Amino acid sequence: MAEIKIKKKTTIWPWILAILAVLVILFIMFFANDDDDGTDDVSDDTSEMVTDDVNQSMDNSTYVISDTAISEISEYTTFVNKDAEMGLEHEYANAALNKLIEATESIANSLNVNISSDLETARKNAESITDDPLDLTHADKIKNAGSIVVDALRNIQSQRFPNMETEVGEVHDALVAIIPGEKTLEQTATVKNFFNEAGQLLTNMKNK
Amino acid sequence: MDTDNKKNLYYLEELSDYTVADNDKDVRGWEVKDKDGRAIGTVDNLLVNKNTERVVYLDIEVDTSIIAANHKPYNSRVKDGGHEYLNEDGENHFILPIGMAHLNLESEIVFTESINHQTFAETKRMKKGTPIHRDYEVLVLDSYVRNEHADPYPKDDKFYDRAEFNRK
Repeated sequence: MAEIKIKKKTTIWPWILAILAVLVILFIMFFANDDDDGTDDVSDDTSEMVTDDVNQSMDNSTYVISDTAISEISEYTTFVNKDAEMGLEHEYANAALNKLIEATESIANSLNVNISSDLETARKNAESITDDPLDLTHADKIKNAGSIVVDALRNIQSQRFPNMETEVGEVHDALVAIIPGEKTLEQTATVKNFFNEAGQLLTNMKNK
Repeated sequence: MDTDNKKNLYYLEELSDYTVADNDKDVRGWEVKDKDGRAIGTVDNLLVNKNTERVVYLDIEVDTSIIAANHKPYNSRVKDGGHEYLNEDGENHFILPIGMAHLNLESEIVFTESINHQTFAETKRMKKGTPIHRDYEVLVLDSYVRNEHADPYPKDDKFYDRAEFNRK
């Protein structure tokens, strides 16, 4: 006796459709990524600043300001915000500059920014203020040291805080306002304004 | 024939999503021989019961010798009020229950051990592709079995539990 069974045909269309669907998804994913790359490429070509900003924003999210830097910034801002006696201007300026240099160096190290500024020269300028309290070139030394610090702060800002260009500009303007060759005592407010602006910038960076 | 019966058999070609199982033979095109080795015809199609997913009949295109014999179809139920049939021109197919067929795999021949040429010639035929209903199945089965007592058959798929449809 014979027996012949039948079976349902194996329908391959659902499999073909499934494979096609997977291929389409992979194709879309591949070109979606490719488009992203393309966008980056365009940014590279058209505006290096834009790409830098993107990278900086990304980098900034991966770096955390260290407790040491926060402490240094707080120490500096506390110092410059208190109503210091400018009668002791050489000691005040020296201390303020040193604390500003320390805070700047700390935040740069904390954010892994190579500031490549000659902070040692800035320190020597700050130190020399105390050598001769009667020297009339204190404003020059403050400005020289301040200039090195502003360069460093601008470096940090451009790499990690692209939105703080204005604040850095304000610090720079405050520094420019200090008149070389003029007695520091006669431009106390201008010098203090520079220190305050620098403190504000550092505080903003700390709180970002 | 009563054509109001519910359709329970399908030509395999009607079921586009079905095919012969991998381990079984598709005997379409195979020659069919009677118990004496005489040519009966060729397997033209397979009739399947969809519920049990198996072939229950071979649809055979008969050899010209069957038609030439010109026998009147056997019908044991005429005396019980059954209708008398004739084989008409163009009716050159009949069905063979799968349990009554044997396969010679080497020669690709279907043969039967219990039905001779004359019995086949006395079996009611139909035209190619005619829908198969239970009345015709009973008529054919009666012809092959030739039981003096025409017992009633089940109307459902239990009909195919008979020996004539038995699995090997």
